Amino acid sequence: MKSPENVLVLTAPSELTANDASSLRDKAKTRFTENYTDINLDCSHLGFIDSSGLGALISLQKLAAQRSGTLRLLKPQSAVIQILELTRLHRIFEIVPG
Amino acid sequence: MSGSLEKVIFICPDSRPGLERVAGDGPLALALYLGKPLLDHALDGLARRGVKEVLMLVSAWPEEIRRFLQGSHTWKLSVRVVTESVEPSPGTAAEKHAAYKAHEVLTLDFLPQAPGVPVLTSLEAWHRSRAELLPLLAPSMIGTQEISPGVWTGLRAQVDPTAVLTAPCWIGPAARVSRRARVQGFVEEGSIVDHDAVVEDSTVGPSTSLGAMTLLKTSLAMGSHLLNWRTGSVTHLTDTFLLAPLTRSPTPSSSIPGRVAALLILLCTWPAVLLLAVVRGGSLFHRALAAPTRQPAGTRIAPQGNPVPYREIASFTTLWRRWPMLWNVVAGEFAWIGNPPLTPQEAGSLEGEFERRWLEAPTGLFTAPEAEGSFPPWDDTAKAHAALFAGCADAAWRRRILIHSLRMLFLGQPGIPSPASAP
Repeated sequence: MKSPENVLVLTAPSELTANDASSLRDKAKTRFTENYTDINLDCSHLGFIDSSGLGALISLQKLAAQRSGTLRLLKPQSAVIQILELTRLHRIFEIVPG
Repeated sequence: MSGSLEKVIFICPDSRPGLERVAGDGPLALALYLGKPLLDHALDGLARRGVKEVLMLVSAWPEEIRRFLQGSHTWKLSVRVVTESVEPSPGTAAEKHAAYKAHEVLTLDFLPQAPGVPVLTSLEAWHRSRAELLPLLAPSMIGTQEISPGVWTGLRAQVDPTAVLTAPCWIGPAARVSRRARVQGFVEEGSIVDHDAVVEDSTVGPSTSLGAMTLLKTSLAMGSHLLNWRTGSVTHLTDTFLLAPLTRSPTPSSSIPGRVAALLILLCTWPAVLLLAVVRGGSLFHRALAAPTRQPAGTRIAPQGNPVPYREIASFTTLWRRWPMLWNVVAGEFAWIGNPPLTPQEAGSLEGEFERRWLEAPTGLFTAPEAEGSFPPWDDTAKAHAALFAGCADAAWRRRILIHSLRMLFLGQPGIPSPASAP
């Protein structure tokens, strides 16, 4: 079990599209300092995600995987889960239901 | 009656060693087993045991499982599907979903009708369990009848009067056993055992034709594959008179109007395009191979084809270089809108279900990743565009791809490197 200080907590915007994907990616890269291994992304407010947003999530996952960590999506809404399932990304990310 | 609801956690299998061919391009839980998907039997068994609520944990093919569950409510069960990234063990599932307060955690490795009979633990179990489960499962299926002790036939099964059926024997719905054939085993839905063929302690999988005078012994015949359940060996047969899948040909990637439009554009534009290509010099065409499209689960059509040869105009750097691919659209091999062509090597390097989703959409002239601004070498975002397009390309997105692509075409935006330059 990872201790909380190893986990970077981020909040996803209400829409994760091409407009917001790079800012989320940049924010994660900047804040994912050496003491972190895992990323928890609070998705409770995320109502829409497109393929660019999925690309950003994969970048976050790879960022965590470089330190043998993982990306956890916290409380994603059913529409987001559906997209993750359709693209089979539910097999890559750890989804923590609400 | 206590009035309390009986709740179970039910774990759908991810995959099982040796059963990859059994599942085909779809969830193992929905593989046909004695006339019905295995999961159908399991839910029927749960309902008969008095279970009222099921928390179903699914890692592989969750949307196919959901679609299947939506299709029927005959079990009178309340089923909630929760996706997992990997198939959990019963212990992990109980711990993770402790709040659900389940009475039991079950897996599909055993059917509730016979908890002591393994079904999915090996290829041998997949075949041999049928003998024990047949008398338990067959009576509850519509249209089945026991024509002699231990010999069951499904709805619309046809058995020639000269054929010899020996228990345990199951001839599935719409299956046909021809004259003088001998069957001691299981013939699944829509299959044919041709005249004088012999099935001995074996299973003929769904929609499979076993040729005349063929002997099938201690094996499973699945399409054109022969799986020996005793040794685990797998043989691919190319002689269709011995063994063949009874599946229809893959549907064309483009519609008739789309193919006609491609032909008209080819006819109207070829002098100008070829003249321009010749003027630019160099070799005219670049020849390449596109990996075949994978058919999505549940379509029951031939899952794999051969790589598709196509040409591009080598000297063009914009989307116009794909002009010769219009011929592939005419032939029904490519679509107007789809995913970019991948070489067989590129397709082989796709890892995991997410990346392989790329191949579940047809190869297109105008493509989702390119319209969204991704170009070779394909990165994770391009793979996300391709996977999402394969999963849910709605009319609005297709329209957006078309508009973006036409803009690229007529404003001459570069950015389509040749496949040779892609890694």
